[in-house]
Amino acid sequence: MRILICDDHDASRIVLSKYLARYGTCTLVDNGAEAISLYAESQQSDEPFQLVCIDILMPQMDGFNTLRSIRELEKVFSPKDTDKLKVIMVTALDDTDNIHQAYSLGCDAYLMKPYTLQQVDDTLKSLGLIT
Amino acid sequence: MDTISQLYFEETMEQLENAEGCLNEMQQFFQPAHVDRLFRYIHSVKGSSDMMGFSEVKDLSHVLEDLLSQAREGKKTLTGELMDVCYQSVDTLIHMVENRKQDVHGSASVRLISESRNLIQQLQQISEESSFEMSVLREPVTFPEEPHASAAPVSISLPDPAAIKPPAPPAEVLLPDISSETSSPASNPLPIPVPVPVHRYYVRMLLSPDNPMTAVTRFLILKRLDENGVVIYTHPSRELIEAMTELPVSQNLQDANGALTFLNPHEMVFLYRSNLSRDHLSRELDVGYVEDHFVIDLGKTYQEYRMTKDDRAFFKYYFNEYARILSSLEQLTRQSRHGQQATPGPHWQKIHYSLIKISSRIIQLPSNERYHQWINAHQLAKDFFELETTANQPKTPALITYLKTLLMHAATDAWRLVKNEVVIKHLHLEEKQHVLLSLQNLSLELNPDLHQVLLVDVSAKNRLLESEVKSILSIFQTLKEKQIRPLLIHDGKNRLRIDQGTEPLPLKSLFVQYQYEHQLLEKALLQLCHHPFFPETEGGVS
Repeated sequence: MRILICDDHDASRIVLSKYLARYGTCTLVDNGAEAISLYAESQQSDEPFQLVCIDILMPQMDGFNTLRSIRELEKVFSPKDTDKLKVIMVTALDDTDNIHQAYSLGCDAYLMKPYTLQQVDDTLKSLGLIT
Repeated sequence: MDTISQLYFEETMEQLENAEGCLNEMQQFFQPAHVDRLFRYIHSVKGSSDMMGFSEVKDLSHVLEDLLSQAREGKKTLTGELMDVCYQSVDTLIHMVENRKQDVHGSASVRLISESRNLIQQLQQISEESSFEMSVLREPVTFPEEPHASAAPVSISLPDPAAIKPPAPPAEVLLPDISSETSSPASNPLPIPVPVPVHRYYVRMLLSPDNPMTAVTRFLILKRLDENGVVIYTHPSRELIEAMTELPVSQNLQDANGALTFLNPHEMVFLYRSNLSRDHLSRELDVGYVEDHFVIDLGKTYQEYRMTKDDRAFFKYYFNEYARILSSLEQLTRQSRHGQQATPGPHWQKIHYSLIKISSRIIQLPSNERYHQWINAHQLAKDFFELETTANQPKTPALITYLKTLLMHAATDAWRLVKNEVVIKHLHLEEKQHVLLSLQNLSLELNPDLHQVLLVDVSAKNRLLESEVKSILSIFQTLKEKQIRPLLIHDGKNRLRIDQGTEPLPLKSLFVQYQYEHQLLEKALLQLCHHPFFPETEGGVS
């Protein structure tokens, strides 16, 4: 499984990649624009990303904007509903408005920082990525 | 908790409880009046939640309301599975309002909202399902005397405004030999009156050259625009953007239509209609890897947003003062970096004076909506500065950097105001004015850095001679070398006739006819986009 992690904060990017390394190869980027182009690139390759983790608070392009762009692109690359890309918002924002916005833009799960290994596993399980 | 939110929570909880009671009654004895009541409860919950800004409550109640309104019209029957979903929705709504009341954050919120997304999906699915079988089942349940029970089970779906695009206004071309009737008004009979977006924009953007996936960025920009309005013209063409192929640099410059040779390979151009405001549109265009962009409001550039001489003088003055401010700031930064105490000294004073000078001149600007944003940015910088001047503290480097940023914002705005203005140069020829002389003078004056499009209005003339046209073409040739795109425009009232003699004249792509002034710019730009820079072969009009 290929995983894309997008977070502008070095430490949290690395921590998450350490957690997720057991389940797949992680690609790390530090801004939304790069995440979008990598996602598009992977869609044209043999092994597209299956999971994207996005931070919300990022300079320039924020996580909502990134998520929205990725979902727009997805409609073109894989119009079928079957293997939809899973997107997890990984963030320290915990208020209802942000959570609601993330879900209405089409994220699949919302992981709140700080998280434990158990929480990461549970989230992946609920998405059906691991058993 | 203030009174308004208190009122909201009381009222909404009461309504939701009523709704639940209503559902309970419906389980025991179904009556169409129940659906009506339920609908009203949910409707008012939706309205008030929207007002409070609780969008998650609003979203769910909105979908539920849609479904109930179908049930009211007799297109759906509230039985079995559907009842369950309604129960769950009302239950979730109650939880969500409770959460808001107690200000619960975190994982509880996440669980609730993901649940509500599932419900919304279910409800939408049910709403979309065809309801023919349902309508048959419905008969024994409802009362026949209900007047709306006889409503045909045909779903009337509102037209998707994005799907119905008003046809792009045809760029009416005045052929050299047209002398009789000019044009019919652009009446496009649409089956349903769709509100036409009010604003018209010319958007031009420069994409970053180090973007690894330019095609993707292009595509995203187009999609964003599609969502919020009607794209009338794009460059590169819509097909190319949607195919998401990377365009090789050389091909991009001279595409199949030979159009738009003046564009840089990383540029994009749109003609766009939308209800978004200009600022909102600018925000919408931010998808990463965009170096710069500008948006010209076609409705306003030409008529209202015309800078007067005084305005220009003002901005010249402003930029001069701004240069002084910057150099003083530079000095201050150096001082503070060298550990010296950067207390308010002569440099600080200089900046203050410059700011006051600028502010005193701002009053002379016409009170135009256009300048508001910039004036606000400037005022903010000035206020901040004055606050710091009275506070008798040493000026830290961070403070100076912040001040610089504030001033920079104002300056960028001002630069845009000046820059946007001069992209299009409009020249109106008077009746007796000599076409050639005025054009020749103008072609010397024009500066390719400032002007990109030249519109020559020849409406007042009623006849162009062959020799004149030839000379116009040669002047336009020099403009082409300067990368300025010329167009002749005409309102068609004086029946312009071109004395073409024996040879047909190559003017087709340089003529634009307009009927109403507000269409002028849009049509002219469309014409520029659809035709190559300049007719390559003389006499090449078919």
